[in-house]
Amino acid sequence: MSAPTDEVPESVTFREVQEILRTFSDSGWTGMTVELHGMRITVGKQGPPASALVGAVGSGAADPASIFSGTSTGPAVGAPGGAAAQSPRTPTRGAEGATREVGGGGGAAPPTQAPTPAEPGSDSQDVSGCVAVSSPAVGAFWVAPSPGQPPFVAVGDVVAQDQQLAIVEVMKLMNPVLAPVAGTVEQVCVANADLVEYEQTLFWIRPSDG
Amino acid sequence: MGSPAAVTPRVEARPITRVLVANRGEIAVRVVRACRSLGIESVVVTSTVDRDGLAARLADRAVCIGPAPAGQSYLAIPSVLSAALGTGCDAVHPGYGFLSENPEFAAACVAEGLTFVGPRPEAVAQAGDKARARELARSAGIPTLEGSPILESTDAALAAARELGFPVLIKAAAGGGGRGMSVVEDEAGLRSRFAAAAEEARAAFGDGRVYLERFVRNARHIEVQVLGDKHGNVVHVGERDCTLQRRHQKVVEESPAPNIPEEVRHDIRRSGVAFAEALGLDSAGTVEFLYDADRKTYAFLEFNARIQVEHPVSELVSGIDLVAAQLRSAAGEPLPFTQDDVRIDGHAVEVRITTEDPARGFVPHPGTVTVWEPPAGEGIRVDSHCEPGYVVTPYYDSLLAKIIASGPDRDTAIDRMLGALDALRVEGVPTTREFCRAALDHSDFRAGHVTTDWIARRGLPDYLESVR
Repeated sequence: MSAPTDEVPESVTFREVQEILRTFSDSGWTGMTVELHGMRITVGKQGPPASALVGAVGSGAADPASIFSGTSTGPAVGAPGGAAAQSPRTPTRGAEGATREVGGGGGAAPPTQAPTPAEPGSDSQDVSGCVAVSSPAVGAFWVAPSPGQPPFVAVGDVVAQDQQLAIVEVMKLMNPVLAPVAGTVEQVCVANADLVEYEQTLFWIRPSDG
Repeated sequence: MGSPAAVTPRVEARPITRVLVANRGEIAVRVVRACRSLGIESVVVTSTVDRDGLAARLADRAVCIGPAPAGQSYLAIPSVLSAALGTGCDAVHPGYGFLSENPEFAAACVAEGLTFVGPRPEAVAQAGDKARARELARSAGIPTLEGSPILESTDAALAAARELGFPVLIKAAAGGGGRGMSVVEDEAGLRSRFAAAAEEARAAFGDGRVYLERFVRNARHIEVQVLGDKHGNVVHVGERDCTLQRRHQKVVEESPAPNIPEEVRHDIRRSGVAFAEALGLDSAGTVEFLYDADRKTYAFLEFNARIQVEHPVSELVSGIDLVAAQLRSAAGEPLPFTQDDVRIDGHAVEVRITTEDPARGFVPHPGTVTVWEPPAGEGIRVDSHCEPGYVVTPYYDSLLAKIIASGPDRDTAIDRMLGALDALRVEGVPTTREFCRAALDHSDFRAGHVTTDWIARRGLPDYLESVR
């Protein structure tokens, strides 16, 4: 019998670190530090925040989870002991592990390894406070109703709630992607015709009332 | 198709470079490893709860195709195909369970230009229909259980049962894995059960056709591993004994089968090959037989058009990598050996470690595996996707690992297995480890005297007595 949620676990698994990174990536937060039994994970969307580089081991000062604000993009992860900062990365695919290109086989990646870099060319935008629009299915991502037609939306467009933003095609079945909130399209995260996974972030929308 | 399938005379080789693994758990890990050994890339599909799992990490790429319920992920044909085509795969390996024996899926793969790593879709369809498969066996001269044709009414069932002699088994034409069967002891029982059994079959399989078979009291389950290619070659890779079952779910498997006359072993293997030839088998498959321990006769049960959970025991006694062989056959390569080259040496035993609690009626037990230390050592192989932190969800089967022990003879293999089970450390969830250990070390099992109802009749009561 296990009691997974009642108390702080004695150790953190790779799987749990992945889950933490995914949650962070999908959030509007710009930085986060989690400390659990001697393991510290500091994540910022523009390199590790300065606090991650000070007194890493045994500082005991940080709250178990502290949130700080910043104006940045891309998750980067600091290892315990203030490991070298990672280059800025966009959050588009980030910690989802969505487009893992392991090449030689991967095996168990160190828990503090930075997530997969996003595609070149994706916009570096501040998506804090934005709402992610995730894919309803695995399939081909189409920005327009059919080839040659203008896209449903572009960055900067103001959209209404439930307005169609794109199509995810699953074996000839066209699944509409709808705006979950009214707001402004801050970022289009996927290139037209790319394969997208279930729950992959497709757009970031800045809510109009936020 | 009642007649033997024609063998295509000329086969175009279609090299496989990237395989979509349409499965999860230990078999996904197993297929990824076989791909790697052949220099083939692998893409694993996952549900949301499996996307950080071992198979996803070992594969060259992982694609999340849907939420945890299998109907919306591992069983969603359009999503699986979409992932295969979107990642540039040229073949699909279905593993076991899920879509592995779904003829529509096999046909859809072929229609999309993907090589299906398994038997031809027509063979999958023919084997999946129990009545057609049995007809094929009979036409190939293989002993079949005395049974009835499909029965439309209770009166027809009563007439058929009088001819067979009670007890009889009501079986669903579309059933499998022990589902859709019930034992009936007499006419009154048949009268009260028949209509309900047909209705249950319709509800479970969308097909209400049922038939009767004579019920064998002291039955053992013996199956023959067969392997074919697209050039008309078929070999057997020995037989497996999977008699230790609980509610028709296999618990322990071994190869070769203990305690059967050598001439019967020879005949069973030959019958396995005969069935595979009649089917035109062009991949790996398993021909299942029921062995009557009293009369020392056997009869065809069914054919499984897939790699089986228990395939490692055959691999260990033959030295043949069956998953790699499946991939080679799918690519159109001829089998690299003949029947004479297949040597069955030594003995292998497999135990399935599941997160079920024997003390509580084997209820599957979701939870988090906090400690996972698999055994190792001479003659020990562990096929598993488990690791510390692995979460057993209620969505899928509860298999944590298969432990396989081999040695020059049966006693050595069993002794090594006992040592391996002692060395295995699992915390966080209950497992079947202790129960399997007790069953393996039981004098009945050691002597090769167990039957398919042994766990229910003796193994489980003895175990529960010992832990009380």
